[in-house]
Parts: sequence; structure tokens; C-alpha cells
Amino acid sequence: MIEKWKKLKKYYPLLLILPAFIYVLVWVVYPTFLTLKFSLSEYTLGTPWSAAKFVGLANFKWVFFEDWEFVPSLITTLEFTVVQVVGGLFAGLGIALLLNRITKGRNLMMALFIIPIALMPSMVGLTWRLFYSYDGIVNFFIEPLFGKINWCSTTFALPAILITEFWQWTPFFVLVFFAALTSLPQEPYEAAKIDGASSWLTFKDITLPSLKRMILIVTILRSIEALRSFDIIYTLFGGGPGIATQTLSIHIQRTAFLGRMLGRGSALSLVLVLITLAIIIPMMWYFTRSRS
Amino acid sequence: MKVKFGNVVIYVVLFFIMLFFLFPYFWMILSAFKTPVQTYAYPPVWIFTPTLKNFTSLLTDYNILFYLKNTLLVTIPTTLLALIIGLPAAYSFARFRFRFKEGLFASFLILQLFPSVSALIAFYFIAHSIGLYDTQLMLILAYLVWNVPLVIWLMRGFVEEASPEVEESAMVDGYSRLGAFFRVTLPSILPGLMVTSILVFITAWNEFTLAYFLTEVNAKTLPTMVGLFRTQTGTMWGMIFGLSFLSTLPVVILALAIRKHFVTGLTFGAIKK
Amino acid sequence: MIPKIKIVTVLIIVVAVASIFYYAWPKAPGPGPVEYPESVLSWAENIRSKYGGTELTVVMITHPSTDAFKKMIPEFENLTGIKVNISEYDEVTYTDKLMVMLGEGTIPYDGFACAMELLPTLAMYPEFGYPEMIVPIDDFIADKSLTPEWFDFEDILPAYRDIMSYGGKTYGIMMAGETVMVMYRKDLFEKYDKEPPRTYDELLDLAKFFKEEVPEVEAGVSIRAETGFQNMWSWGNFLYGYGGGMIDPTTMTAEFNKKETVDSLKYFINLCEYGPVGILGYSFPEAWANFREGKSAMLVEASAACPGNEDPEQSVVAGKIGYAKFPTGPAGECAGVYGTGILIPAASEHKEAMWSLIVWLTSKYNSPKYLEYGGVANRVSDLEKKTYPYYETILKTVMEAGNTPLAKKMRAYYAIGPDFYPLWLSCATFMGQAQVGNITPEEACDEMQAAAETIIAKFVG
Repeated sequence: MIEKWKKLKKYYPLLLILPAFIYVLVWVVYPTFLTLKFSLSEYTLGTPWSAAKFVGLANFKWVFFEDWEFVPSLITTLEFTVVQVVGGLFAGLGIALLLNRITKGRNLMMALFIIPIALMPSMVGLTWRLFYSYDGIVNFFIEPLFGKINWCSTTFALPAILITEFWQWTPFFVLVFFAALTSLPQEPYEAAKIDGASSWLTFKDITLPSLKRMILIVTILRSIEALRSFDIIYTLFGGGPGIATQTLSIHIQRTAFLGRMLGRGSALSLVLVLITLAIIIPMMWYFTRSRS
Repeated sequence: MKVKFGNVVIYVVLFFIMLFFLFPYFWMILSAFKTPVQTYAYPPVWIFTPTLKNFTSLLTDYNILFYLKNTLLVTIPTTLLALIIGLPAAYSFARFRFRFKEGLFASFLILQLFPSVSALIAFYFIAHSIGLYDTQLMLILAYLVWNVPLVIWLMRGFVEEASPEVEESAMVDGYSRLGAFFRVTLPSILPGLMVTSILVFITAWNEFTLAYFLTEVNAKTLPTMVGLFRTQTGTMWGMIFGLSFLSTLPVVILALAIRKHFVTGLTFGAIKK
Repeated sequence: MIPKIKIVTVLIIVVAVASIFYYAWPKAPGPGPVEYPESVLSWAENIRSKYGGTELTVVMITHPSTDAFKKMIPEFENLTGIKVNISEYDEVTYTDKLMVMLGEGTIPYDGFACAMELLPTLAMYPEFGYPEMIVPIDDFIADKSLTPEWFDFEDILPAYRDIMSYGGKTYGIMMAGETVMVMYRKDLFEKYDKEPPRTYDELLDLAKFFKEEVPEVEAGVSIRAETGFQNMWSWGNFLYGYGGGMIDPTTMTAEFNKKETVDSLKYFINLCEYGPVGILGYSFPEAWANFREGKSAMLVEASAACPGNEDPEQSVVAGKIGYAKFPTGPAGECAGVYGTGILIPAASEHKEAMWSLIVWLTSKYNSPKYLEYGGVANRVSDLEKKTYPYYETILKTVMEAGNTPLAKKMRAYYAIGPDFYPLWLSCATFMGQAQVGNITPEEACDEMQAAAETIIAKFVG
């Protein structure tokens, strides 16, 4: 009996993970299979599933060689993601540090930071769409400085969606970083204070290394979400004007639901998955190596 | 009392930051009391006679409490279950070493990327096959697929922050690993736990696409109400803003209520490394 | 800190509970029993004896007509003993969900709302070897026991009946029909001594005039121009009147790079220049809002905009609006006629009961109630009453410009089949590129032509 118990103990770590792993795996299998199946078929959404025709890799050929919208959408997606992740990291960490420095009212402010992410993304998009109208509240504040801006133009549409998405998601960084900061052990800081270290040095040598793992985790999570971000961009300008704000996720939606070409849409979404993997796997590898 | 100049600067900066992040919300709430004409007016209308019509309509004509009930029935179990299933895994990743550890860890995130566009169709089909179409349970099961990995990834980071030595010393004192976890580790990861829970809660609360496709009459959640106000006769902004406000109210109140726990209560100075 | 939060929380809970009680409290009973004429009672008796006790599941889009229907249902349930469950969706997500359902090969409801764009495709499914999705209702209409005198099918506008049918068979009854008109600021037109536009050129000139020379408004015309469904819809309204075309269904040839089609695109882009700033992001809510805030002199829109235009809570120009028939193009009169109707799926097991519901909701007898509850007028007799200033224009537009050969050609596009959805997407994207100036209208039309020819080749081959 004790022998069996000892043997099981070896697998203790895996046993803790097993329920979660099996759960996720089980639910992911069928959808993945469907995506794969559709990506290899020609299928018009709205017709019976049995009407899907097998076409091999034709959809992927279309994505890489025939779809003129693929590269512009890809570029927009990458621009979008980089700005969101880098901007969010700096802003989120900065704000969290500021909050950490004060004592009164910081819990209240932290709680209020929930508000942007507590709103539904499509609601945020809809509301900011109203805000960005030529006679909207944003222009009201800008008018004395720059004059009214036509936000729905090829020059300003992309900045508009960047600002809105940044507005909604930065609190995510702030919340996570603040929670991480307050959980850090205090002795290194006390020691540093005794040694008379400047705040910049304290930050560089104590705070940053301790937060490194958390920063990586948050970067990876946010990258994934930014690459497939959809609701805000879609409700704001629908990918327009023209295709000025069309990211890959918008392109997928339009191909699959407006054009009803689910085969091509599925192939595009698999390509997006591959691109996401290409971006986050190096980050994950770096994470593995960065033992704290 | 010496008022530190640095502190004043920080407060001023934070004030403007909060203004940026909160002003749109304030504007939304204000507009929930407006008529459509006032919503579109330019220059914007700050002072006006408010109308409660939007809110009363939401309660009586649109039966918002029904949707609220469904949302609660879905969100609370999702959050609890995601924590129950995900936390042990996160702990395991943070504390132990074993083969395929990082591969398994990565797989949680990688696996949930693949469903993408067909997730909708697949879950729709599954829901019909197992007879759970239009039930809260189906939504819970679906939401867990994305929230469990979120819990695992975030909580691993937070658990790693809490030093293992403290746990070890508690175990040396006679506690089992589980006991040590509850006594020592849990209090120190409480902020992280609170943040993770709130994020999961919000994700489930606001989820729209699956809620729309997997429900019909019985299990419709709050997000599905938005569609009711984008009619062929125009967007009913007052209703949308009113819905926004009411929909975020529980979350905001919850956050305000537990904000004490965003900061850890322990001081680590007492225990020597 | 904590006691304060507890007090606030408790207060909020108390207020919430109090409001629940106040609003959920049983309401006063409605008006007393209605007196029904003999013909109604005998019909109801017949229905009750055959189908009483049935339960119907109906899916609708969010719409004032749906709201009107919901108010009419209790009477129906009382008269016939048939129980009705209605679920509502917003139009866009509804279509997506319908598409996913169609994958399973059946529409699992007793009745559903269907837009005229989708109807021909669904009716055509058997021709493609797909299962039957919807059923013709001509037999029901002809059956005197199911369809009484007071229903009056012929009273529904001819063009509306036309778009609810395919291949000579009727599939649904219109619930929210609409057409495109020009709505203009009567007060400004009077002040500057202008007449409402009768041709495309007059529309363009007026738009230019009001944008450039009239200080009271910022734009000449407000119109939808957003890339996607909207810009194609807007352009489509002008395209056929120019003599252009997309795909000729009889010859199966693409007409995108015909001179007339290119000219119509140039015209549309030109027209947009006299629209409000940011027009490239305009879907119908924005277009309507701009006009209703008094910022543009004209609005080229579907008649669904009319009720809101005259509502002081939604429009500052209520009462100052004139309504004109859609102008005539170089090739003739052509007004887009659109709408959503109620259809019966093939999978329904209660088709006759569903039909009796449709009869009740859309009959001439119930029309006064329906209109009073806010429903959209679909009948000649209702529009002739001229209850609202726009009724007359709607009637005129649909009767005179809504059934011309050009208008019929315009509608025939939707009867080409599901293989042509990708074409709509390509066209919208290329049109969007022309609108922002990345390519010329000629280039855009050439691309559309190429896309159309590829699809035709596959379809025919």
C-alpha cells in the first residue's frame, strides 16, 4: 500500500495539472478538427455542411499568393500588436509604480481602474465610435488646439483604434503589475534604502528582475489577445475606411461571414494561429530560460 | 507635517491619468439620461433635464433582471470553477520540477488558439448534440476552456513570487503541503488571486459571441441585450449606455468592496531568508 | 473604510430590491374584451378547432413592427388557443446565426423573419440539391378557410409581394417593407427657392449648392458610405437607374465594366463629396443622425428613417422635412424596394397554425391596431390614408419606380444564388478602395468585373 502511495507521489505534480489539461484538450479537439476540415474545403456559409467540397491546400495557396488583402492586413495587425503590447507595458508598469509609491487612496484608484476593462469590448467600440464622430466629444476637446479631426480617414483611423484599445486594455497591465508589486518581499528595498540607493537603481536592480517573469507572462497573454483583437476594431470602423484599419481578424470575419467563404476564412485563421505561435514561442522559450 | 513635493507631483499625474481612463465612462453614464437628440448634440450637452426613461424601460420593457440572473448563473460558477481547476495546476508549475513542464505550460495557451473561427460552429454543434443548447451550463463549460489557461498562466507568476522557503519552513513545522499553502502562501498571493478572479469574472460577464450563438430564450446573458438596441430605426444610445452602466455596476461595486485585498496584508520582514 | 462600504452596498441592494418590487408589481388590467365581427369569430373558431393547443416558436428581428406584433399576440392566443413564443435578434447577428443554423440543413422554427436579400437564395436550395428550407404559401392564401376575406392579400403593395416571392411562388408576407427616398429640409428649400430633385443630376447639383453656399448646413446630402454591406447598398440604389448592372441573370454576363456602371460609381463618389465629413464611416445610424441634427440638407435613405425623423426626441428638424420620390436616372426610374417578411420553414410541423398567426398579424382588419402600435405600413390602403407626411411619397415611389423593369433587374441580382456572396464582398472592398482614392473607379470596376467573371465561370462550368 505504501509502495503504491510512494509511486503515486512521484506523479503528484502532474496530477495537479491533469484535470485542467484534460478539460481543455477535450473541448479543443473537435473545434480544431472542424477548422482544419474547413480550411481544406470550399464551403459557403449558409449551405448544408455536407456540401463542403475538399480542395486540398487551395485555400492556403489563395492566402499566400492570391489574396491581395493578406499582406496589408498582416502589416496592420503587427503594427497594432506592437503598439498595444509595448504601449501597455510601459504605461501599465509606470502607473503601477506610481500607485505603489503613494499610500492614501491607492486601493480606491486601483479599483476604479477596473472600469475600462469591465466594459464590453463592443460597447467600448460603439461608444468611442460616437466619440470619434466629427461632432463628437473627442473633437470637442481637440478643437481649440488642433481643430476638428476627421477620425474616419485613412490618416487617423488607425490612431483612433490604437487609442481606444489602449484605453480599454492598459488597466489589465496596471492591475496585474500592481498586485505583483505589492506582493514583493520588502527586505531588499529596506536594505537598499539603508545603502542609500537611488530610486532608479532600486527599480533597475530589485524591482525589474523580480517582475521579469510576470512581465513576460503578461506580454505573452496580451500579444495573443492583441493579435486576435476584434470587437473594438470592428465596431469602430469595421476595418475601414477602405481597409485602413483591417487587421487579420477583421479580414477573417469579413471573408467568412460577409463573403460567406468559410473555407478561406478558416485557412486565414489557421495562418493567424501560426503567426501567433511564431511570435509567442520565442517569448515562451525566453520565459523558460529566465529562472528567477 | 511635511508634504513631500514628489508625492504631490505623483498625485497630480495620477489625477490626469484617472481622468483619461474614467472620463469616457462618466460621459456614458451622463448620456444614459439623455434623449437621442441630446446625445448627438454638438457642442456636447453638459447640463440638461435628465430622463429616467431609459432605465425604467430597461427594467420593465426589456426585463433586464432576467438577463442579469442568467449572467450571474454563468459568471459566478465559471470564476469559481476556473480557480478550482486552474489553481492547483498553477501551483504545480510554480513549485515543482518535472518532465515536459514547460511544454505542458505552453500547451495551455497554444491549445486554445486553434479553435478560432470554427469555435462557434463547433460549439453550436456540440451544444445541440449533447442537449445543452440554450443552457447556462453550456456557457460555463465553454467559458472554462479559455479561462482555465488564463488562471494557470497568471497565477503561476503570482505563486512564483511568493518565496517557497516560507512554505518549506511551515512544512518543517509539521503542516502538510496543502496546509502550508493555505496558511502561508495563500495570504501572500491574495492580491494576485483577487486580480485574476476579477479578470476571469469580467471575461465571462462580458462574453458575447458564444453567449449569442449558444442561447435562444432561456439562457440569454446581459451582453446579448446590446443587439436589441441596434434596430432598423437607429441605435438607441440611451438604452445602450444605460445597459452599459447597469452591466458594469456589479463588477465595479465588487472591485470597490474587495479593494483592501489588492494589497497583501503580510509583511515579509519578519521572516529571514 | 469597511463599514462605509458595507453601508453603501446595503443601500444599493435596498434600492435595487425596492425597484424590482415597484416595477414588477402586477400592472392594472388592460382594456376590456373587444367586440369582433362575425367573420373573425368564425375564422377563429375554425382555427381553434383544428389547431388549438399548438405551440409556435417564431424568430424575429428587433424592429418596431415586431414590437407591434408582440402587442397583438395576446388577442390571437385568446381567440385561437394557439400559444406563441417569440425570440428577437438584432439584424446583423441574426443573419450570422441563421447562416450557422443552415449548415445543419434545417431551420428549426415554426416561423422566422427573413430579409428579401436572403429569400431567393433559400427558395433556390432544392435547385442546388440542398434540402428544402422554406415552403411556398400560395396554397394557404387560396384556402378560404385559412385565409378569410378580411386578410386581403392584394392590398399589400405589389412590389412588396414581388420581393417576397421567387419563381412565381409566394414564400412570405411582408412585415417591414421599405423603399429609398430623398428626404429634404423643406424650410431651407423654401428659403433658397429650390425644388426637390427629380433627376440624379439635380440631386448632385442641390447637394453641391447646399454644401458650398448655404451656411445653415454643413453638408448637402447625408448618405451611407461605409465599406461593407453599406456602400454597396447605397451605390446599388443609383447603379441601375444609370443603366449599369452587376450580373445580368438572363445572359449570365458580368456588366461591371460597362460604361454606365463606371459612370454610376463616379457619380456616387462625387455625390459623397458633398456629404458630411467622415462620411466614409457612415452606416445608417450616422447618416440619419446627421440629418436629424440639422447638419445636412438632404438624406437619401430607406423609408425606415421616416418615423424617427418626425420624432422631436430624436430629431431637431421634425416637422421641417419634405419627402420626395427617388429621382429618375439617365436610364429611367428605378427605386430600390427592400424589406423583411415572415416566412414558414419547411421543417415546421405547424405550418397551418403559423399561417393563421401571420394572417392575424398582417391582415387588413388588424391594420389600424398594428399601425397604432408602431408597425410599418405595408398596404396600399394604409398608405393612401396619408396619416403621415411620408406615406404619400412611399406609395408613389414604390408604385411608380419600384416595379419598373430596371427595379426588377436590380432585385434579380439576389436570385443568382449562394455562390455569389463572395462577389458582394470583393465588390465592397474594391469600392471602398475607390472611395478612399487608392484606385480609380475604372480600376475598381475592372476588378469587380474580373471577380464576377471568375465566379460565373465556376458557376456555369
